[in-house]
Amino acid sequence: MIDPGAYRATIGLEIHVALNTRSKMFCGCSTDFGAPPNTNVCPVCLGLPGSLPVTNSGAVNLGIIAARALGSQVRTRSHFERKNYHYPDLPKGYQISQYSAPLAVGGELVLDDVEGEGGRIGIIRVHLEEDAGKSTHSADKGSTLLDFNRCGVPLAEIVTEPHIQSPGQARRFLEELRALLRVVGVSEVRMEEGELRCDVNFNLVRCDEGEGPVRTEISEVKNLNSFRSVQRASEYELKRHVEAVSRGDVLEHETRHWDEERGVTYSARSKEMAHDYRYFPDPDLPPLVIDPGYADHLAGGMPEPPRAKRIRFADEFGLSRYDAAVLVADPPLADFFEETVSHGASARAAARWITGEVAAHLNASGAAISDVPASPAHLAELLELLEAEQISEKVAKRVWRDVFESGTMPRVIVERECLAKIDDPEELRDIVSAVIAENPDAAAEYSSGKDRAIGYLVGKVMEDTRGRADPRLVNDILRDMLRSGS
Amino acid sequence: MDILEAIRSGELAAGEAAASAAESISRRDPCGAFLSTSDPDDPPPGGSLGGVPYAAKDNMSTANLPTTCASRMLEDYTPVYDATCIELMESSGAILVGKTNMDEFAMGSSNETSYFGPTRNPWNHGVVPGGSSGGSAAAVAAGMVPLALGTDTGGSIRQPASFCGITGMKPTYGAISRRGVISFASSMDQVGPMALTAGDCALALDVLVARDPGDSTSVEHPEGGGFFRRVRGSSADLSGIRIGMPKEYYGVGIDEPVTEIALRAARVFEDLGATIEEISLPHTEYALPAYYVISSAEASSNLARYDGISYGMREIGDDIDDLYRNTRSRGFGEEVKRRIMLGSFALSAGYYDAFYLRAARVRRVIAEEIDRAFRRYDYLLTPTCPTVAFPLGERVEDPMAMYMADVCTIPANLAGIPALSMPGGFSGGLPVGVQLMGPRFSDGGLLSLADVFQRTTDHHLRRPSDGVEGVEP
Repeated sequence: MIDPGAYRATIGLEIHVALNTRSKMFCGCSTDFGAPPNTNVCPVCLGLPGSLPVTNSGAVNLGIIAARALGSQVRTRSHFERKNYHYPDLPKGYQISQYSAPLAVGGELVLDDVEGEGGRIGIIRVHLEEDAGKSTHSADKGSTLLDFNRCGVPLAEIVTEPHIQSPGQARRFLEELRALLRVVGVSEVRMEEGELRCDVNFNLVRCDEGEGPVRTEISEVKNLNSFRSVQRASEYELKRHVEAVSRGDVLEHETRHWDEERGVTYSARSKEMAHDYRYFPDPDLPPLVIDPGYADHLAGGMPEPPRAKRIRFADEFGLSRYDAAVLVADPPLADFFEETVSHGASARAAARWITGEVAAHLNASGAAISDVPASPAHLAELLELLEAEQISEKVAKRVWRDVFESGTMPRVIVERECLAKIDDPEELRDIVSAVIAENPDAAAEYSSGKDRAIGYLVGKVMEDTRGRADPRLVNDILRDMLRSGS
Repeated sequence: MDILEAIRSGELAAGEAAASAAESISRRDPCGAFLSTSDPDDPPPGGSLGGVPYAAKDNMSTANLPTTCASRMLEDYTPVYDATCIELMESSGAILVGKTNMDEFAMGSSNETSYFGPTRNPWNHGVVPGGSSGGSAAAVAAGMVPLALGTDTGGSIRQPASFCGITGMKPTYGAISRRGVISFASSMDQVGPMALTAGDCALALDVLVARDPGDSTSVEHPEGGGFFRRVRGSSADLSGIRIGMPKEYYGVGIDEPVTEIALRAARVFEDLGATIEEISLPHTEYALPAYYVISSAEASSNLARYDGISYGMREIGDDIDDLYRNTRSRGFGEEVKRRIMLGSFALSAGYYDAFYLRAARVRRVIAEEIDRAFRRYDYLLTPTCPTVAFPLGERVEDPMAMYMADVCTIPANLAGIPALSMPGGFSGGLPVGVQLMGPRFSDGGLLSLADVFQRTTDHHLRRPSDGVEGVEP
């Protein structure tokens, strides 16, 4: 009997990311998503006879930035090759890609150690290529509609080492990768527009000596377009491979597809496996020659990667890992945080407020932080009032609602609406004695030993002062006055 | 009368010459040089070639004329855009009168692989005009147009120029944009002029040579724009000019009269003061196999787009693979399919290193050998083809014999250097060309050398009307 527990999952990913350019990889057509079919096309991306590709240098720049963000080494000389195969949405009969001399090699992406899913995931290569068109197989049998708008959109392909050890880690990797690519401006990674697609290469490898095969044959699950399906497809393959090993079955190296609805992978036709792409250097395009100084220059202007920022937020500002992660996951909020702190606010209070109240208002309104009148200066002033105990937490929340909508400075609102804390004991005594007079039953209950009644009376005082009174002070004064029977 | 004289004399004014050329071509084309003719109405504003009628090979995209590559695959295809070379000719005032016949997708050396039937040689309708730019060569030789554009991937301008007794030039690779020219082998394809004289070719180069941002392989030519002036200003005193004669081009397989004509041309240059020396380029024998591997490999990929999906011929089938198979089996002729198979094989897993990669290395060795020769010699002089034009049908069933027709012209394509063929004499009533090659960007010098030759010889002045033999079709 073979013990499946002696094996661990081994996952490598091939990720295609649409680069954030306005025009296509080899022509001037727009990359806008959602245009009517076949309107963003020209002789070049339609592969009409005689048309020739011209490399979009903006796409190359983004490829260089993606590579450098992953710590990959950008080669001084790389070239485009043709990947030859026939498919109706591939109008030239080949895809311009990179093969023997990719844009960049090596690199890694480090995952924080959360739930045992941390680790360093090595990158094998980063290369540039063009996307294909889109086929829509009509329900009307035998007809296929072709839209070439996407044809020629620039892609970066990122290939990982088989360092990923669980379906959950595969998902974590993609989340971290998306955050990184967004921050450095390489791609918006809009999943719903198909801007990230992923192939999963899965097998099991035995961890120690023992019975059974050293490894199972690799399954290549193609073209997954959500993080969830990457995780689910990997989970399905894990189960399938474990079962095969337990039964002593031998799996074949094969290409598989993911059925989202049924939650299963299934074997692609064996014909698709037999592809010989006949790669060779594209004679229409000169080699890409990238001066190291140029790559350095592009990398120099790159924003701080998410992981470095999380570490810095924890070290420099003393934030919890959780707060740091939440802030960094939303770059505009992270910037808002840093600016608030630079205005003199306490980092922890700022983090608590931004992940709490600020995020809640943004969520409710659906607005982006850049679109609302509230600025870091507003929040810093509000936190200063809180810190100085000039307003209560409850009042602060009310003031923020006003700030969020009007952009008025918190101090102005507090003064205009007389919201400052009442911390003058004399003033409070008057209010408290009025409340006692209005609530003789509660006062009597307290006097007869029911301590609970004090809470009711404090609440009444807070109500009358619209939250401006200091509850602790009110409590003290109440007890004092009730005890003395005055 | 050459083109410039015709322009100056006013003979071409207002597009009358072009209109009458187009009209007479559509009425009578005994050689089968044209596949389509245009109906020029509005003469474009006069430029450097104002009113000059010209023909273009049918692999150059023209938005108002079918562009078939002489293939059934593109029988009904009309492009949506003009090739850059067509745009440039139009902006110079030249008038396109028609598209010329060719070997299918420029693969061939006789024009016999055309789906629409072969072009005949104006000197003798029983022999081939050469190829693949055979229609362009015949149109010029027969006097239907004073200028035609061809493309040359392995000799497809120079070899038909030789067979038809005209001057044809393949410029430095990258000098003329390939944008819109239907690709055969991208790393060697080059547009060039075909005319009666070197001077007329230079006039065309002045229009055509320009860096095109739409073609990533096009280059800035250091002499761009000054070719004709240079040719006209060149001295007939060739003292100090060193011309090499690589012995590998004069050996086995080259007909005696052809060799003799090349040697006579060498003596003409020697009499004008040039130094002539025999040299050796020992890797020349590997040029032909390297060329057929590389050009077929590129072609197998370039022609993958003819799949029956978006344009061109479609033969339906049971499923998509069946549709591809039917379309490509019936849309392409035998020679095209042979090269697609050869090229696919050369690129396939397990054979890539032994064929494509090795051919690419051989190409580099040959290019370096030629570059080295140009450190000592200004130009090289060779026969253009091993033979005179051969009879129609003679080599159709013998691809190797057909491929040998390009043995002298292929090295220039592998090396990316300029080369031309000019009339050097006659053998058995058929013209024989002489080839001149020069280093990259020596296009102006090459044309000047040919012009000097043509000032002292008269082979280029003989026209086929003097000696048409054979049978009218």
